[in-house]
Amino acid sequence: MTAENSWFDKSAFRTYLIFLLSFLLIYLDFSNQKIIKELKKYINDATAYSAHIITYPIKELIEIPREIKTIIDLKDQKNQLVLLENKIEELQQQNFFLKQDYKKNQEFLKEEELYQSEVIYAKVISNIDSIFSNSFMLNKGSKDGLKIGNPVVKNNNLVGQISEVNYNSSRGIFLTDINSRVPVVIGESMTNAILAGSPLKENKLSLEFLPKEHKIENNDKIFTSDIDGVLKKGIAVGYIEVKEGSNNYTIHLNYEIFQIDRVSIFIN
Amino acid sequence: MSRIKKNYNDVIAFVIVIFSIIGNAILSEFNFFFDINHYLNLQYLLIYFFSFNRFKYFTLSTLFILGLVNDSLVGISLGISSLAYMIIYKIALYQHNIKLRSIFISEWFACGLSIAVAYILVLSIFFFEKVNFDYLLYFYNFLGSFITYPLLWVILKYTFLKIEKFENE
Repeated sequence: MTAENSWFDKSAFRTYLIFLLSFLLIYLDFSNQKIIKELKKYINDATAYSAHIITYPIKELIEIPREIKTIIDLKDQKNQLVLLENKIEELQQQNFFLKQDYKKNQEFLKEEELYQSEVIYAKVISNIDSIFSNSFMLNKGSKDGLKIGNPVVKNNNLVGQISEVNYNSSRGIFLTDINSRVPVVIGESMTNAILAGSPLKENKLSLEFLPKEHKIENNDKIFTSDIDGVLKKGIAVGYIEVKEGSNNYTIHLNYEIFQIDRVSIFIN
Repeated sequence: MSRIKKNYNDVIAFVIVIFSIIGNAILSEFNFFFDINHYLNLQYLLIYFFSFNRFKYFTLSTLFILGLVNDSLVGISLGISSLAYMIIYKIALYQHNIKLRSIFISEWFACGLSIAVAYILVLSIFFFEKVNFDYLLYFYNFLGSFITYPLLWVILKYTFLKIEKFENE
């Protein structure tokens, strides 16, 4: 037997070693070893930011048509603002209404202060849509107080939950991810259920653990439930579209995944 | 394609694979392409093609590192993608070494086999890790990848032959 054909020749040894290393890494990661956990946090931070930097110019180029549309929309909004300003002038002449507005605004600001103390704002640095997961990376991590399970919202609509926290970045899973399970209440009947990610279903969502005698109506709104003690109750999720003449329904989210660029995370 | 390739080809091939790994973030910007990754595993196909055609930078150690990057980006246990990539590489290499003459069908079927073996291994690990997965989704993905390979083969062969021609001129 020559050295080249021998099972322990250099090249074969390297192959065995590298395969063994892969299995070892999987085992250490699975068994939550502290060393690998810490190492993974650094690797995740590095890859998340590197991927963001590499893809940033292309993403910005793609954004140009959307930016143009926003500018056009802004023009319309500007016109609306002019109309509003005229209205404000009218209101200013009526002192009574002004006082009431002032009082309301003060109350609103107080509420807002409370609300802000529980929220962290983050930027989505990359969306990951692969057969393995449907997730996103955020530019905030454990240093900012993020924890696994924190709900991620956009304009008070639930987007997903934090599933992995690194030092300077974190991963959130979308509601459409196969591992996502969120307790929800549906419609005026307040039916409890679990909203689960189902990649092969329409809109990649399904409802699990619905009571036997449940009644779902068209356009029923879906809100989060605080039954698991992790999520706040009352965060909007989406609505249900019931197909005419059948019991089949489709769940629609209140946002499009590709529209998500900045999000808020409830940390308490 | 010649066995020894010039630098451009190798570098371009490597960049294509890197972009297929981190390009998720770009593809997801287009609503139209959002589901493409569920029915096609471009990374596996590219790695098979470039390994089979013996591109310079496609070695076990490079694929191991690329796998770690993918695992880190996708959020699965470190080492899973490395293992899958290395299996595809080994099968491609074996197929390349045993071929007596270039028959595309055998290359195509070996590609299918490599993806199937990689997925079986990945799903077995998921099963032991108790990670949720949908068998059907992986089956569709395998079928999509298998069917797409000839198209990708034509595109890549044509492109790299053009680049090679340009380099030789």
